[in-house]
Amino acid sequence: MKILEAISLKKYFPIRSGVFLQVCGNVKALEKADIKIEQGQTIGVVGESGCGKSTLGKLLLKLYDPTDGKIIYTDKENNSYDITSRISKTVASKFRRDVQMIFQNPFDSLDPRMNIYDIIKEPIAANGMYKNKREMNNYIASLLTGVGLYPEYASRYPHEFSGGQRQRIAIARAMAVMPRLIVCDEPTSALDVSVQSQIINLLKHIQQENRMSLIFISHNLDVVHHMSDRIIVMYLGNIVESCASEELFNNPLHPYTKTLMSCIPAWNPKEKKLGKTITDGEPPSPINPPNGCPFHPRCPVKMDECEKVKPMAYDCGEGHSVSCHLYKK
Amino acid sequence: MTYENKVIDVKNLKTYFRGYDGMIKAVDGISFFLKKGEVLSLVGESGCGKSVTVNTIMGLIKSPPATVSGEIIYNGKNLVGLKQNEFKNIRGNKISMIFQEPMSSFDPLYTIGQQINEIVKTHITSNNEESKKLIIHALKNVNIPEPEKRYNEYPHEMSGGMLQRILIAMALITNPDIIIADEPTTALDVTIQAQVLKLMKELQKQYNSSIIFITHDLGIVSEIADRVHVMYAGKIIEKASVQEIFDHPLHPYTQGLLNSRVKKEYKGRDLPFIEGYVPKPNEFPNGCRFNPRCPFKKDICTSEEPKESLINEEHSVCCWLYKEGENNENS
Amino acid sequence: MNSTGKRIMKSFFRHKLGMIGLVILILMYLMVLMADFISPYNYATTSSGYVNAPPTKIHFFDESGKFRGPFIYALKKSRDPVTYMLSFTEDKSRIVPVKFFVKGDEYSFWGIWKTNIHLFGVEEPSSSAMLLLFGADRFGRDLFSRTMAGSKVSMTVGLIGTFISVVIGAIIGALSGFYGGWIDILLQRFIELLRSFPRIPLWLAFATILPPNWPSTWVYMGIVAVLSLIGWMGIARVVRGMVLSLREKDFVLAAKISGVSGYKIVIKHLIPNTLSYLIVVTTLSIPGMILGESSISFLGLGIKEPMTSWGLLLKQAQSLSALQTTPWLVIPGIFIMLAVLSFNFVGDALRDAVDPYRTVDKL
Repeated sequence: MKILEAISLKKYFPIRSGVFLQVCGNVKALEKADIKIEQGQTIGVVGESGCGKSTLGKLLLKLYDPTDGKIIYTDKENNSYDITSRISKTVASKFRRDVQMIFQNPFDSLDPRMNIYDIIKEPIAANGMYKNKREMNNYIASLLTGVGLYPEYASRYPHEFSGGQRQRIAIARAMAVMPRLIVCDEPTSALDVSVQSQIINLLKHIQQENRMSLIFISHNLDVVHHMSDRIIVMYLGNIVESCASEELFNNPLHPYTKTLMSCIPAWNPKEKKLGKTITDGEPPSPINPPNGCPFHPRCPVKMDECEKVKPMAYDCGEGHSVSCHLYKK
Repeated sequence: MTYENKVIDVKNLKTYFRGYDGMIKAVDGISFFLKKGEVLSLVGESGCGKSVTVNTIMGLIKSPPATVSGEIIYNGKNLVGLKQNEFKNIRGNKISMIFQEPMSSFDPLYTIGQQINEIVKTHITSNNEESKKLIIHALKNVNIPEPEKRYNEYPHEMSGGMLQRILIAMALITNPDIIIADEPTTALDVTIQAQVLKLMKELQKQYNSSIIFITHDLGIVSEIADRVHVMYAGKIIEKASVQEIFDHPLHPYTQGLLNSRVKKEYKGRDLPFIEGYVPKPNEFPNGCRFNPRCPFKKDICTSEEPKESLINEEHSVCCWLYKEGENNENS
Repeated sequence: MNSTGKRIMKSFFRHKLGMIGLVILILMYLMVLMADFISPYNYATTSSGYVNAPPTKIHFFDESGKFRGPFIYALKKSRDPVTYMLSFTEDKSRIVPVKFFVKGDEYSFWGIWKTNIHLFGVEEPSSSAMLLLFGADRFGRDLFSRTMAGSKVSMTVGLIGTFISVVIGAIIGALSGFYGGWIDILLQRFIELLRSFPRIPLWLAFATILPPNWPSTWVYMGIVAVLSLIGWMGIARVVRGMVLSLREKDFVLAAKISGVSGYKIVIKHLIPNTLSYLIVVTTLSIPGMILGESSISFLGLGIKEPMTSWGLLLKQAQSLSALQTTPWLVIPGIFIMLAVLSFNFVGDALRDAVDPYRTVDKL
């Protein structure tokens, strides 16, 4: 069963300047992205900073309105709604219960002036669940135990916790309304290395127990591979490659994906990778993206065509699609 | 090892801050040295004291209010307790630093050229022509395209990777004895990180410079370091050559860190992890500071702090699991 | 109280100047509460025999060196034969003891019950001997009693005025920041317009609107209104800025994702997170209000005689000759200074205390 589907989703952020704030340019954050999320599936989104992965997440959460394209939401009863621009109140309340988010920085995502109880209570109360106080207390206690924290912590404040514990609290808050989809925006990258694995394990467990879907956004290919069924690789606002995660690791096709993989350090001093990688240049600005393929200025196998024509997504079998002229049939 | 080989020798360094609820022992009695022409990596998680250590070496910790004790022997001189104006000659000249955030390391109001010129003027030459030549050469050295043009540009006109390379050029321009790099690639993307690391390694070989490289990423360590010191809660808990650390990690914490890497094989299984959380600097446990998280905890671990025991010539560890209680500080 | 609160308290109590300021302020507000009781005379009681009399000295030993407890000598008036200036000398033959809890002018304490007991004073009627701690003004009124009476106006105008302007400022600022767009642009341009007028002429313009025949209490409310109408703009701007940055915070996004309404986000997340700033700014803007009231009254547009405020009292010390012959008339100025400085110290201490980035002692 589908939960969310986005069809050629596009987001431009206008740049305004001058006295009357005229639009003088656009940050082209996302270009024609297609994405489909099924129940119980994890989609990994990987890419460098500014590639549009966070924008994609926030668009799907309806925190921004898309410039163009369509978002279709399917509720539990399998009714589909177009939620691209205006959402009716009934659909909105269903959507808000079904789709939640976990943020990158747990020091930013918990209100420092609220205690843990109030933080977790907020989404429950906003969605009108558990009006009875005793039931609410029990439910919050069970949520805290579920993420590996003591129920007594409910009366404490966020600053009393370490980064890892805060991220657990954030997970408990997201889980509170029993969502069907959680968008995780770099949920481990602000955490200490020794704590990251704990959080990844917890997320994986929770997802399996509840048959939930995840959109897992990260710059770390290893982590995304571990979490996801499918991986989307993004570069400069474009989806450049999309396939099953095993397939991506065994058979990366797009030159950018290959570059990205070659940059992961080996964790073995005998197999140093430095000096072997050939990645020149830096990602261009999304205000003035290059013509043709967005990766062509850095691409080691650039052809003439790449400068002029933007490649479409070519299907290479088994759901593996690549936006690169090399794979044109 | 002969004394001359050590570019810097830190002995029993302690840096304490006074907090609202008691002393914060950010760095608590660490000893290490840096050899000429090597890359020494200090590895640890947030709050382990690695940044405070190098900031103390750089004289960037104000004392008082902080209390710094121990010795930092550089060039036969103890840097602990040195006055600020005596430090001027050393900081930025003989010991230079590369920071984590390239964006905030530059003043947005001055051009790149002006900012590097400031350093050149204080430490090398006051001749403007000469200085400009020097700077443009230095920029070329770190693969900045069109250095003449970049010389007159402002920091906001450049990307993070470019600024980080300019910071490296700045750090190298005085031909320092020691370069301290504090998480220089953490703020960068992986592809840019690879470029910067490669550049640093090349320049290090070319100049035979000595680098203290701080990071929390063992992957980077494996690429760049010669020797590794692992820090936890204000202490150095394991010292070894990079090959030793990756082949035979001894301290349970080091083992845990190495295991916490997300490997392909783990797909579909739980990742191995270290129990618990990094302790806050004002709540360090008694005895071995890792004991609440350690899977091999013994009785002695909670009561007594383990001393450094030498395993072989290039490997020592602070842990009660190994050769108990021998002190080999003068190795 | 949670531990943030405790940390703030601890750090506040460590701030020495702030503590001194706090003690002074507590004393001053006690003074305001007990003003009628502390002052030996009614603020309007005139005594023709004591026009421009200097502060009375309190003695403990008489001429012969005998201890007699606190007492004053009655004053003898004499006129300088050359300048015709009145001068006062102590009449050593008339000893008037100073007593506690003496009967004097009748007043109604807090407007509740009538009494004539004063904390201290002399038992003789004001025509024969007066205890003038700060001297007397040109109508022979006790300046100490008048300073006490003035404190009621001066110390409360700041509190009430600031409270009103903080409420207006916080609401307008929060609206402007949270909704943004046209509301924001309009409000901001309006604030800029108001702020571009010079302050004192604006006060004067507002103050002249108050009808001259209003009773003093109305005038008082009018001044509070004038001061707070001008004071809210700075606060609104800063609150807007804070709200602008807060509404992009992840915890606000998290609330939005959960379907929390805009109104609840403002009340539960945005305002509490600006609260510590508001407390500090309140403390720091009270002195401005006190000075504002003083300026208006000093210029003769505020509180009218016989009611009084510190600014109005200072008005008497306007001329150079007054300063020369009756220097004690500037004493109310010292009170203004003390109050303003204390509020500033307390505000500074609060600001340092609530700064969350100051976890390590700066010293």
